[in-house]
Amino acid sequence: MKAASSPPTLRTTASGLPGRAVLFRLRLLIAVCALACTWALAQPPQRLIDYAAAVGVHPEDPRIPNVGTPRFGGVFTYAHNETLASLDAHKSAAATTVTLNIHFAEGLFALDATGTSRPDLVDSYTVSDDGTVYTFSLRQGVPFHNGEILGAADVVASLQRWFGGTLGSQAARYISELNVVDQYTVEMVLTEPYPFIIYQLTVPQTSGAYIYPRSQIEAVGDGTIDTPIATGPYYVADVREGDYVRLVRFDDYVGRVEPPSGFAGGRVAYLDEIIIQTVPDAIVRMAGVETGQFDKAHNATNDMYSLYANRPDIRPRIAMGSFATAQFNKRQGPMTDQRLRLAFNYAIDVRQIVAAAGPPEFTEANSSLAPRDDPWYTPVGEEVYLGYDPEYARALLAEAGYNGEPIRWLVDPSVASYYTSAQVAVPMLEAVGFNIQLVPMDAATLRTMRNDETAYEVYAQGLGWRADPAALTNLSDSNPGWWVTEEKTRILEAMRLEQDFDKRYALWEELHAHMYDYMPAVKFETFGSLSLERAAYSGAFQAWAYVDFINTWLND
Amino acid sequence: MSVYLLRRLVALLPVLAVVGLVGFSLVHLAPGDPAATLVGDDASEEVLQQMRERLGLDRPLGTQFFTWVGNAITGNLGTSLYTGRQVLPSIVSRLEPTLMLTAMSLVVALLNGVVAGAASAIYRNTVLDQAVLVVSLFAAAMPSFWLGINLILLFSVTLRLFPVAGYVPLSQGLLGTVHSLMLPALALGLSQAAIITRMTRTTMLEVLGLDFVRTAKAKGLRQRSVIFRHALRNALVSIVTVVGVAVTVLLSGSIVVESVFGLPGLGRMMIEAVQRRDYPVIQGMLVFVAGVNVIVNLVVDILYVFIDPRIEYV
Repeated sequence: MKAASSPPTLRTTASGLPGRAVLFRLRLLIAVCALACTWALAQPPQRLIDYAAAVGVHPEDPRIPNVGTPRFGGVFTYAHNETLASLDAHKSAAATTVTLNIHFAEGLFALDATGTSRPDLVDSYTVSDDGTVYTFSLRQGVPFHNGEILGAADVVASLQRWFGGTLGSQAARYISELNVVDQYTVEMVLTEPYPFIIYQLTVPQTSGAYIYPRSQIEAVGDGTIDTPIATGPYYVADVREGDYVRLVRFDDYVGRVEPPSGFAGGRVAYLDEIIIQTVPDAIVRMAGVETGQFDKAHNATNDMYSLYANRPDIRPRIAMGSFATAQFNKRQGPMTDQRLRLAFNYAIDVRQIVAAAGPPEFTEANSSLAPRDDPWYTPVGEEVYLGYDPEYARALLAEAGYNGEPIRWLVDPSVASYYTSAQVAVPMLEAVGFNIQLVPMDAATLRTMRNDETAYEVYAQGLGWRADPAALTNLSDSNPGWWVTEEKTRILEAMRLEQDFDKRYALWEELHAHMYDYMPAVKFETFGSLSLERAAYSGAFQAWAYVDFINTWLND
Repeated sequence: MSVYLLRRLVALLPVLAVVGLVGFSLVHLAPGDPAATLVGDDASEEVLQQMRERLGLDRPLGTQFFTWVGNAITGNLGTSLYTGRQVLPSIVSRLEPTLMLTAMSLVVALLNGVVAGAASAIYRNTVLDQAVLVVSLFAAAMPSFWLGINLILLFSVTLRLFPVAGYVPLSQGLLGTVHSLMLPALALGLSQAAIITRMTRTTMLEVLGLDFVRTAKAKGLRQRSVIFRHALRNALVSIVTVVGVAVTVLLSGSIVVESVFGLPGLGRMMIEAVQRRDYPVIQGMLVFVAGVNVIVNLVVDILYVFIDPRIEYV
């Protein structure tokens, strides 16, 4: 027979207070509840989980290490060598500004994996028959980090502010009007047909056309925005000058639903936080990856590659796409003579320069301005690039009547890629009769002196490959050294007006043929930079000098 | 004393004025254009010129100087050409890591330097003295960045005891700050400790040979009392002078160590400003560092009075 049970009572001590065991259980219960609440609060909203499922992951691409299954959570720390100048992409052309804006801001268009512009904040757009009126319909219901909803007025305010920047000013000369048609429609009127404008509106770019809310732009006036508000999957939570920037996932983010492709398509913020920390010393950045303090280290020194080539826990990544050049002064002095420029080229055995520049994984003898694995690569001009012929160089010097005038070559010794090239080239040039004077100086001085046509005959310039060749810096007339020819202008204008890839590629080959005939500069090696990262993270897309931690997750 | 202090503080003004003028001249005489750095390699000459105008760099140098002086008198050291932030608040925001690093390095230097120096003097010409000599010469000869990297490899990478880089601000707890600064403080403090060791040893040896020490010993005072109450106190004047120099060296010498350990301090701010030709930041920093140097020297002079009552200022 079951005994009658008495009602439960709280066990108390003689003083009437709860006993030790009861207090312990209460504390345990509170702790468990607190942990559960913390866990629940740390979880992304169901809406983001559904969005991630709909978007999927990056398709297979050698530029993306896809390891493991996507999962939310974790803090990702990226050690960068540069101190952040500013987060304001309309004002700063620094690499860190661009890298950070990729994560918290968006533009009208974004670069996909092939380097093509794809709509981002734009839902769709039309171009008038005469090619001068662009009408952009924006995605609706896209919130800024401050809760405002993206509208046409924000786009107009942002682009007008961007016009004052480096790249924006180049685009602005083609734009006569920028109008708000309705809440979600912007009309852009051009002075002449210029399809390349879409590429210029595409992010990421140096000094990019990112969209910030009009309210913030009006509030800051002519000043710099310290903490930009935007529409990206992360928001800027914390900026410590000279130290780090902390980005936190924006739970109300509304993104595109297409599969990810490059910097375009669906953008899922798997990581809870991204911290970009400034660490100037390469060895310390490497040590941070070793200890797990950093998940990725920017710009390791290339000689570290052999240490990490076969490590299971740390992944070395090489990004090819920069190239070293010797730019000639074509406004004044002996190098205005094309025969001297050609003699300079034929006097140099570029294979020796490539061999001296670094391990074979990082350097290649490549005549094209594009890397070998890029769709824009062309072998046109290779026979001149590799055409080492000291006898011919001597004959050209004699024909030009060169009688030993000094050739001042400005170079920044802190950049090994340019300095090594110059050091290896000088004895070869002297062997054919050139009188070379290497003039070492720091980067800031070189940037100033190269604008002075009386100060040099040659200067070292390193250039980065872009997704579109028509945007290459050293192709502009104003690039110091001043390559100004009708042929170059004709080809570049045709490339900017043409949209068909095959026709543009044919023009690109024409440009290479003209370049190796006119010889505005001598191209040395194409080189890559090394970054080190923990093998336990996946998905980051890295191309054209930019890296994107959206659609990236941690596996541990 | 107060008249003396007032006189020294008033003397600060011409020092700052000269530093301001010389700093301005040097910065503007050096080649390099901040506008070119700011607009990047993609910019056309037209954009570069627009940037120069926007930053006021196209105005005559005299106008730029007097504008800067006028603003500096009101406490406005200008705006960074690169970050767009006010210079003075930027300096203040970067002050904490440098001051904390200086303080911790000084503790490392003093603890090691005074103890080792005094021990070396007391046990002169023994194995201990020779060992201290070798270690201190080694520490003084080691470049702080090299020592820093080796400390990272040993204590961070191998033993995993300290972070490789970064700074934990005081607002997040003193313990975290001390933990984050332990390796940079060692890297910076050990070389200063070596100098203090040698100075303490030499001064102590001089003092230990003086008549009053012999008298104190003859009176039957204990060895500890003779050394700490009499000898060391008399040696302190020279030691404090060296420490004063060490503070200024640590404040400016932390440029390299701050870069190695990724600390967001004044040293890194200075070197970055020079690399970018960020004129207002360089000028502001020069004036600030000059002011700090003058004040540190003043503090050292005042400390003399407390250490040695025979010294007085009129």
